[in-house]
Amino acid sequence: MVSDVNPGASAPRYEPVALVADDVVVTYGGVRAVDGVSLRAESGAVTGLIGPNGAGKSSLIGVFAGAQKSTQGHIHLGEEDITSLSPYQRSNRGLARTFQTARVFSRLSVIENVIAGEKHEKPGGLTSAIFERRNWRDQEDATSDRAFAYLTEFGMADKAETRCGELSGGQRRIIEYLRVLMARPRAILLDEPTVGMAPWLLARLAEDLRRLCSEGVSVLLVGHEMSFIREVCDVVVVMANGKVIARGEFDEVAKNEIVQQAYLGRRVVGAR
Amino acid sequence: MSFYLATIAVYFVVYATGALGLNLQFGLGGIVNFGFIVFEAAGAYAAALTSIGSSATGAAQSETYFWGTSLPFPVPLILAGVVGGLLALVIGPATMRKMRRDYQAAAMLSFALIANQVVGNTAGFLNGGNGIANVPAPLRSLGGLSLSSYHWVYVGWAFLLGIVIFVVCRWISYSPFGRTVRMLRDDEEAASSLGVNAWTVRMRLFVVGGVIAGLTGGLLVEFIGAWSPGAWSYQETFVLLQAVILGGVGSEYGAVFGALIVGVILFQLPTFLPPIGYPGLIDSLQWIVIGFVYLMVLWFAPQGTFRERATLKLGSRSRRRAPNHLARDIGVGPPTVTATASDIHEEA
Amino acid sequence: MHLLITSIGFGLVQAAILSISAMGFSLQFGMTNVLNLSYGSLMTIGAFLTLLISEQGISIWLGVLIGAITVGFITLVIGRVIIRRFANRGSRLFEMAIVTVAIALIIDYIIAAITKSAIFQFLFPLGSNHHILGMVFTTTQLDIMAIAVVTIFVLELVLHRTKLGISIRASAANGPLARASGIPTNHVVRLTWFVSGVLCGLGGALLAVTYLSVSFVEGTNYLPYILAAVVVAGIGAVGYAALASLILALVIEIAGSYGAGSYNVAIAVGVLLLMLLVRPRGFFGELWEKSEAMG
Repeated sequence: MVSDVNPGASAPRYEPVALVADDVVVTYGGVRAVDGVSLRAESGAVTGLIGPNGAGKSSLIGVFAGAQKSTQGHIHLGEEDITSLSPYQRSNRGLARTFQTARVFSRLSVIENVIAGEKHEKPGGLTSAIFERRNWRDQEDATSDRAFAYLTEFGMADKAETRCGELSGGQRRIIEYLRVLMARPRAILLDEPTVGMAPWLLARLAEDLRRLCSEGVSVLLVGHEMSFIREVCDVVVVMANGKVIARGEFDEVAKNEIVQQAYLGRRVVGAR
Repeated sequence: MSFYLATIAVYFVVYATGALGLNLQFGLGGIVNFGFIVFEAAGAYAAALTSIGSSATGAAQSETYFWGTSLPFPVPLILAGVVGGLLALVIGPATMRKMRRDYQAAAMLSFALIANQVVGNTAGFLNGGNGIANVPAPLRSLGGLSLSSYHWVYVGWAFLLGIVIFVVCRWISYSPFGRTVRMLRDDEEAASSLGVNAWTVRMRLFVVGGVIAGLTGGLLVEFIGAWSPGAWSYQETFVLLQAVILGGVGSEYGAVFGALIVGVILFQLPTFLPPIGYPGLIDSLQWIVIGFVYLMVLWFAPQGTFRERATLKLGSRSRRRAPNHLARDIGVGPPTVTATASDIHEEA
Repeated sequence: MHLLITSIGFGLVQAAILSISAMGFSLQFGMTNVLNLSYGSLMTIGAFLTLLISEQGISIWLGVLIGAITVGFITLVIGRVIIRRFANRGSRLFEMAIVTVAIALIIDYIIAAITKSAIFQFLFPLGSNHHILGMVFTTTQLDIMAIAVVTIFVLELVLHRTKLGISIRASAANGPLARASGIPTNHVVRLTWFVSGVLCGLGGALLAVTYLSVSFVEGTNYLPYILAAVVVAGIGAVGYAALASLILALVIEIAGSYGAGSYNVAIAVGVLLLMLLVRPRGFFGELWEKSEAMG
């Protein structure tokens, strides 16, 4: 298993932190899509977020990522309150995310997409493009080695130079995931990462997530594939109608009557 | 005849550098700058005003403009670039915000329309509709050259500048910064989630484009010696845009190729035709043709002639290092059909 | 003070022309979602037709009417034949912007070729002066303002009270959904192109009548004002476009009267850019959306 091709690569390393949502509310035109949700994704654990459609999971992920504005509530990354930070600032604090519909840069090649995730100590700016060509060339080589290694591990090395626009949905999700790995994040938001993935890839992803946990990364995973969730997640949080209705290990939560009702479509009243 | 050829050569470079600048903003960055020509104009006026001297002196006496001085070559040209960049810095905040691309297009178009009208109607600023003439040719008296020899030296200088701009554009395009710009163009939200600060990246690109536009304007005005609102009405941007699209959006070679086809063949050559109809008819016909060419190209071949290249090619890298050992060291990729899940676990 | 009153007077006349033009633009934009930058060129056609017809000795108002209706048809043709083709192909927004500019160039320069790029001036009986509230208006100017008021009134009535109008607004808000609920949107779209074209032609004709001169750049040079009014109003908010036009025209005339006249267009675009900077959805955009949501 690859964790680091070039141990000497110059990239910032982060300490493990927990990802916390504190009483978050999101209102869309009168409707509370997220209604006072508090959630904690511990470092070194995979926290699953499940619930029927429309439960508010995507909105909540959006708030964590900074793409969605919350009407009230706070998001913390470790000690730091990141509520007012924009997505790119959160990314630079060590938060990485994937999107519900895998968003790759369709006109760029696969390897360019994966490289895009890398965080450099001195990111290539405009002046360095012109005046420091030798420096960034070496940096690029190191980064592309690492990216290529990841691609190989996930069976996509032969597609390295294909334009991402030509990939299938499952393949795009892998690329998104590898992009996340490149950033060496301390907290990861995975929004439905498993849709369209072949079984051997699911197994590999599950292993990889366990490895990340052992390194202290906190992972928040939104998904619908229950067998995957059950296998991978240490803790599961269930949302319905904008509220958290259950929390715990998968098996406990699955037996919970309120959760079962929520999935069958009946309105849940006053559950917390 | 020699003067005509020299003129065409200079105009080719001017169109090429203009197209390169626009290609940087639009092709690479997705910025719909329908007001590009105004930045060229700003550079041209800057170069003109800093070489013509103040309006009270010499040949410039009949023209009224707000300030002038006479600086030695190449300072006016450098200032042209600087002014182009400054204008971008000023206009950028209003137009580089996140908005629908067609809004941005409309805003830039409006900017071009007003700039042209205001400058044209304001006496005493840049000499209104008559513009500024009698701009001295740089280093004209050096070496005692005849007029035609001087023109060819200027052509050489123009090509030199053009090549420098070409190389710089390529460097920017195929660098980590260039990749960041393309990421931003393809999917801003995804790029932001990767730590890209959309605002600063776009502004930087916009300003560089402005500098190139300014240099282009300066280069042109120092050759033709005059500049007026008629030279930079809003349509001119669309000659450059046509060059970029025809050549292939995002390709530097494409921009130069497009400049040759559109700029030189479509726009310069007809001026050497015998005059048909009344004077000015050919100009109108040129624009009608450009309109139709746009519709044809956008309908049949919007991707243009040359493709945008990737910023990273593994092939070129392997010539410096052999990555083959990587696959061996790391382990295998997907299992063969007969392998089972447990095999994968073991190999890890 | 006198200057102020005169400016307000002329501002009202300007507002009349601008509101008609802006409403047409807003109607078209709201329905098609295409920012039609050839709108100005189409106005120029309206202006020239009015000129041509009035030179035949026919009543100028008839000329205005014919001009407006002709431009309505031309707009319909261009919309269906060219713009719709590109839009259906999934062209992106900025590609559509380029397409409409291409159309603008073609129209403008065909006119330029025919008219030899000249500025045409024509005489037209201004009518007597009327003194109202300290402002002086000619009969023609009063007629123009009356036309504007009637147009706004009729348009608002149709859009909000008739079945047709509701169909238009429904189609504008959500095409596929409207189709699903049985509203014949193709028919409605065609009508919208036509009506917006008529307003466009009317605006151009009134420009000619007010300034008594026309050139091939007339309409395109007017475009920044229309864009400013539409941006201030917000997308699709047709009625609000009239209000925004009034405010904008008054601001431009009053502010412009304190400097040289050529700054008018600069003020317009200054406002435009300021709005984009501060409030891209327009002042009334949210109000309009809320009223739409309520039905």
